[in-house]
Amino acid sequence: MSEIKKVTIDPTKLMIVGLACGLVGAYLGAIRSEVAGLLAGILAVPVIVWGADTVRRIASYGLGTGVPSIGNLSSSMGLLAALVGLAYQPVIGVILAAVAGVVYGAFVARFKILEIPRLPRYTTELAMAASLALMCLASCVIGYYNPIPESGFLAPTSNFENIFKALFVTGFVAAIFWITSVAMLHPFNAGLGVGERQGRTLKIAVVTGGMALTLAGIARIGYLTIFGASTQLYIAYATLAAGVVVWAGGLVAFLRTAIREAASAVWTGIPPKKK
Amino acid sequence: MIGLDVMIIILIMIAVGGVLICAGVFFMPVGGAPAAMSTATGIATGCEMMAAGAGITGLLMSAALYGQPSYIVILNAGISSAIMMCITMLVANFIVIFGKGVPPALATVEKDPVTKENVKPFVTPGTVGHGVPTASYVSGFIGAFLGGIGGALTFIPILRVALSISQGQTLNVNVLLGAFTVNAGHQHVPLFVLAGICALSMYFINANIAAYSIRGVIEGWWDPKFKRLPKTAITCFVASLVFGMLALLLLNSEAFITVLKMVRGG
Repeated sequence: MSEIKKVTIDPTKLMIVGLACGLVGAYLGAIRSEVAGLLAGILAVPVIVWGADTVRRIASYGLGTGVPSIGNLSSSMGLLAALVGLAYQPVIGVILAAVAGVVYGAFVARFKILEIPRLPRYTTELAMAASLALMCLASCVIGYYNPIPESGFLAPTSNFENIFKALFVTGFVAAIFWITSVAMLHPFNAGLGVGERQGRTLKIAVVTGGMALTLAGIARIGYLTIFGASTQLYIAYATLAAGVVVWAGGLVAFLRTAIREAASAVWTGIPPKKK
Repeated sequence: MIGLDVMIIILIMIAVGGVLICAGVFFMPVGGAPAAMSTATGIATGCEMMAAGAGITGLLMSAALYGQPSYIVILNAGISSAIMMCITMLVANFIVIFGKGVPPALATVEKDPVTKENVKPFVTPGTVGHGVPTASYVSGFIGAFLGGIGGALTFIPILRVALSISQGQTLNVNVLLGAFTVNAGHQHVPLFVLAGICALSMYFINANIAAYSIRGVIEGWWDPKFKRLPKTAITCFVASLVFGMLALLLLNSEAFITVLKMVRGG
């Protein structure tokens, strides 16, 4: 059992930023422009960073089953809540994710299946982060998600028709499901160890968030091409480019940090340096 | 749209499925990373991935047999998962016995619970068993069978409700449990995707509870960790009910029913 380490960013602040970014991303489609989809995809990156930080906190206690199980758990909880959220209203999905996460964590802690202090809070954060990330990425793939109805409270049903076409007819839902899972589990899975530090781990989360955004861009291109709407591809290419930029930027930042904090960085000799 | 009796049956099916998935994980000989180095009994991967393998095999089988009566779908899903797991264990044993030259052995008991052979002397000092001995093999067979049944029990209600609404049929208990006379065309494939991804999510949620309860390595039903099963099963039951309600909310939503009517239109 590891002690509580000193953290660079306070987890509560990260949670507030993640919640705000995710909700803004989910509700941005109210402006009814495809730019909203691109921005929602970019806003999914802070949500993924929040999720990765939660995975870091919960998995640093040692689970006995490996870190990937936590990532799959979070995206499984998030997917069901996100689908409900996209069918009704995103905020309902987030609230249901929180309720389901509290119940899950409370029962797992009550029967001493996983003895981790404050487990309900962690599972709640996992479910909320995954559902928000999935909703943002889904609205990025379908173009934009318009949650404002003409009357009443529930989101217009045309949104769900788009989601059905973009995610289920093409099968991209599996890709989005797994990339959310991997984006959240990979940072701590790759960074864990004695010298693990929150700032460095979260830089890997930016890298995996960029990968998720890239995949959402590819899915957007695929969806538009399959349904013969290839004239509107420029925003899809912009999503892809934004994803690659976030990915490469995160990677450069992470490499710099890793080289600075390593004991030493030496040349292995392969490939040989040319003189 | 969905009647109360049908909803209760769906919830019960999903919750019982969750409990079976949990029991299935407990029966499987999970070896984890130590088994890959032949320093522990079992299959060389974590609980979760093994459960996912068994579950997905069961889901594929139940998707292929969607029109049959429920008990045939459920039994076949269990059998296909069990076949998959048995082949995995057989090949793992071939590698361990003929490749590494290690005899399969159990560390927690003196005698093999199935064949009554002396297995303890074969354990290398410093390790907790190797390979998949006969008792672990039988235990793994039972576990994969239960896991496949659990996967099919979560898959069937979601798929059948979606398919029957999209065909404009009235929903009753017979649709969920009896034979299903719907000819699915290419326009229905997305419903299989939806049911599959929802069932996979339920599978991960339940398999994870069992995996945390086991914490790494388990040999079979004689292992001391097996005593945790009742508490874990109650947790899985509650978690499945909660997430089953989320699935029901999705199936009941106006947006989803509109989409299903769109599917009927082609």
